[in-house]
Amino acid sequence: MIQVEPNGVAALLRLEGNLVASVAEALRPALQGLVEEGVRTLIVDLARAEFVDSMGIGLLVAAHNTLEPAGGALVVVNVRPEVVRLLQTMRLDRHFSVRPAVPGKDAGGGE
Amino acid sequence: MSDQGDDILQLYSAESLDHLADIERDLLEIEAAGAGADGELVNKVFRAAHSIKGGAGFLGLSVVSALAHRLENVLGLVRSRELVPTADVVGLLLQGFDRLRAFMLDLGASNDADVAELVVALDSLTTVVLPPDRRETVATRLQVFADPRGPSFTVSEFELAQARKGGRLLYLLDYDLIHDIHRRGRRPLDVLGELEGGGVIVDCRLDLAAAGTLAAPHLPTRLPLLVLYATVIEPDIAPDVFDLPPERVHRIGPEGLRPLAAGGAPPAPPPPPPPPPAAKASASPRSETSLRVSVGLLDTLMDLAGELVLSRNQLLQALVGTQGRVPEAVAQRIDGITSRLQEAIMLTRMQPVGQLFQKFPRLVRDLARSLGKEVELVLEGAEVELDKTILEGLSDPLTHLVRNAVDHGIEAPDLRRAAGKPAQGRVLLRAHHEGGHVHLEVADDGRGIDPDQIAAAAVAKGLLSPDQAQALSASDKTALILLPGFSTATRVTDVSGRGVGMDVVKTNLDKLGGSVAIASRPGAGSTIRVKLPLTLAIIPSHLVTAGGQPFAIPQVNLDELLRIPAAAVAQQVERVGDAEVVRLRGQLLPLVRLADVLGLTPRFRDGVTGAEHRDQRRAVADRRSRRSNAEGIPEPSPAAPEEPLRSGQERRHGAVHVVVASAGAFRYGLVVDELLDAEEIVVKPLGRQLKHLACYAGTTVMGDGRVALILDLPGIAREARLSSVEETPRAAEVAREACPEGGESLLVFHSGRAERLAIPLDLVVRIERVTADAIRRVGGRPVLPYHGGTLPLLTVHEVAPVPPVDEARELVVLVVSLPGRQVGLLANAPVDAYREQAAIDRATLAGPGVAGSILLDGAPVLVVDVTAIARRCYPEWYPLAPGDGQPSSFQKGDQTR
Repeated sequence: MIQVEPNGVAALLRLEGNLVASVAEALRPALQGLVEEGVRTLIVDLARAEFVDSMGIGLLVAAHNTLEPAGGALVVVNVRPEVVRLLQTMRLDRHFSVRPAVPGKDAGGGE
Repeated sequence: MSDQGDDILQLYSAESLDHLADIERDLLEIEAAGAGADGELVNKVFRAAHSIKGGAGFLGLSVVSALAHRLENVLGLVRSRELVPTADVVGLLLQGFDRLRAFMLDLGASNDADVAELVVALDSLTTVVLPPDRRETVATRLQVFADPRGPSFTVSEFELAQARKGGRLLYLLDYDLIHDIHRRGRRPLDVLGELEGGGVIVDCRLDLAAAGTLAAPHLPTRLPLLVLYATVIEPDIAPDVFDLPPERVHRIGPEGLRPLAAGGAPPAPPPPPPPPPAAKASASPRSETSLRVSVGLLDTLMDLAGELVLSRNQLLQALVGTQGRVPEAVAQRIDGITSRLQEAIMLTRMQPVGQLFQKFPRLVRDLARSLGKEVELVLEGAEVELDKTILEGLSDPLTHLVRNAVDHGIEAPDLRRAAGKPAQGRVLLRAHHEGGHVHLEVADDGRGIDPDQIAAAAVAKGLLSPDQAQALSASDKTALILLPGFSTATRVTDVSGRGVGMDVVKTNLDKLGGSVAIASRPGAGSTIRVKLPLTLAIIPSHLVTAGGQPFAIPQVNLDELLRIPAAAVAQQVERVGDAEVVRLRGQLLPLVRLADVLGLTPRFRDGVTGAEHRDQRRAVADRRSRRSNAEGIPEPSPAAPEEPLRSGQERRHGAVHVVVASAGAFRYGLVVDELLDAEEIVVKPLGRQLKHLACYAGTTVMGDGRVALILDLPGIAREARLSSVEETPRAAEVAREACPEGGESLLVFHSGRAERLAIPLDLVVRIERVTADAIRRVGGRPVLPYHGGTLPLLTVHEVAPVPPVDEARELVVLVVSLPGRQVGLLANAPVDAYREQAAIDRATLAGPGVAGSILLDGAPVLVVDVTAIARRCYPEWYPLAPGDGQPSSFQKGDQTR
């Protein structure tokens, strides 16, 4: 679920489903581990997330709070329109980068 | 630090470009809907402007921020239905977003840009709908105080006023995402969605600090979210409605709003932002240097890179242990990874053609407006993917085609109405996959192209002699606009409106390995079809063998593969004249044996032993072995190979393999020894020594290391003398590119004034214009002195009950190729070519010299059977059974069609 780029400063996290409390709880220590290993740019792929709950938002903000002071950045990519709307309405897109899913490219498939 | 600043800027610009990606389409949709525009769509555009503004403010990009702010204001008015999104309003919005997009490509320069004019125009749009006393609110910013904690939000007075329209009251809602939402089993979007449904969320702020960091031992216990909200809900019931305790619902009265700092400068924040590093390689501003790749694909690439590293390590270790010899397993593994890596990297280059399409709605809209036309653009197949290089190269030619369609194809509304068409024209831009290729179509329902005007212009330019022009069919004349030099020399824009720069389009597409075909019906519109490979260097192909050698056939030329079982050969393969044809779904296709054309000895593989034998059948339908064939049991191959075939002596063996090839204007069957697999091949050009060989398009190296020649199917057709249009190289090219979509190609001529007759176009070699006194009589029969010999002339009325050729009218001779000889069919002009989807009715009107009839323009037209006429007029040509004539060019015969 978590892939670390070879140079170690960037990591790609691809969520297999919705970003909800249970997932957030499991991810928190894992993400902290990455930061401790030197990851500074965390890319979270939300292609499969149909919704994000309050805890999910908490996790994203916590990641942002951790990375930004360290000179890094949180980027959420492939964000579905509903989730984009949520993050925009909460004005979270002013704090970290929210990149909507590109219409036409399907969510996960590379082949 | 500056490095990081640069990173953030880049991130911001990429993100903003994402937001901007769909805006054009959305705005055009909003414009089309006018006052009834979809609120959610307006909201989406609004939010995009809002996000861009937010980020710009944060990064000190004052000009971007100011412009985005104005756009947001205008969109706010559209959203509140105070401003109807007319073409002018949307035009201004489009301009604004255009500027934003340009800024995103060069953020460094944005602060020096001058957007004053646009800002004034947008402001005036805003202020026009505002009463005078509210106009200055556009620039004033207010701070919102809900409690002694200090200002919670800063918003523009205008925005606030917009939100409070209709007697809405302003509240500050103090939510906690955990207690008020999560613990109650709700989701934030549900709550925010409900709020948006009952009012306007003016601003929102999440207490980021409350979320803590990842290092915290557990998830946060509170996440306060402040929402500045305008609604008509009264204060007494508000807490219940919002599901919040009363102390966390703050009503904001006038006393809670204070102007930002005395004399607070409006939108332009004075502190100059740190200028981003200037030395940006000034790449041409429009060409994107980054590529969007699906994350799944990136994952695959990352996996493969990892595997490659592992294998390298393995290799290095192995080299140490084995004194330089590489174990096969390691080599295999590296080999496998390399090819998968290559494939994956190729895939990253594939981009949806929609990226290219998205600029056209705007282009069409602007162009149509400036020309005073009404045009609807329909896009289909935006998801079809193409190599990025091809996509980029396609931009100019496609733009040209779309522009042409609107500019020259679609008529002005009054002309359209006069012609009985809807005032609004339609341009269809369509992409689809077909046979390993991408097909693009630009179709319009405009005035079409007048073939005669095109031909006249080509003659006037000296590209063609009048005689040559005369001989061309309507579709060939239309295709003349693709001739080099047709339009660039003196710009004959009035030709019929079309053809401006079409040769340039064609040249561009040629470079991409594409082809262009034009179909047009005067008065009804034109369709330009472009066929493109998916990528340049690798093409899908099918491998076959002939004479024991492998050959690759590009799938672009390949319609289908046929395997005719041994038992069915006799039934499905027939002889017409001295040539063979195969019956395929009621159509007859001429057959060409690849081995014959290339001068190889055909082979077949014995179905039982697997041994290869020389194939002695001179003709596919050789029936000499029918009896043994019926059992399907091969009999041993006897007879010395050199010995001429004798009836009953040999034969049997397997199925016949046919590749149904489309070669320009017609199809034929290519008989090969074996059909192998489909394979993607890398195209290598032919060496100079082989360049002149018409049968080959290139070479490739197959997976097993053998070299295979790539066949040029149109070239083979010419080599086998199947092609009918052969007079000029250009005509051959026209024929090659005409790539039609099946159906009947007919040449229509006249006998007398009114009677129209047709013959299959493929039979006609040339059309000669003649005068009555050029016709001589030999032995009572008309002949024409032709190319130093005499051409026997036939007329349809000698045999069939049709009005006689009127010698007082304009006369033409259709030179028709029959087995072993050419004959002329004397007829009256005009002559025209038709391509019909309908089939020939061979029953109703068939008779002497008439093969049947076909409906053309709603009227039945007799289809002439030239062979039958020749047989009647010159019985001495046909002494015995047909088919033992001398070798000659292929004759498709009457029943071919």
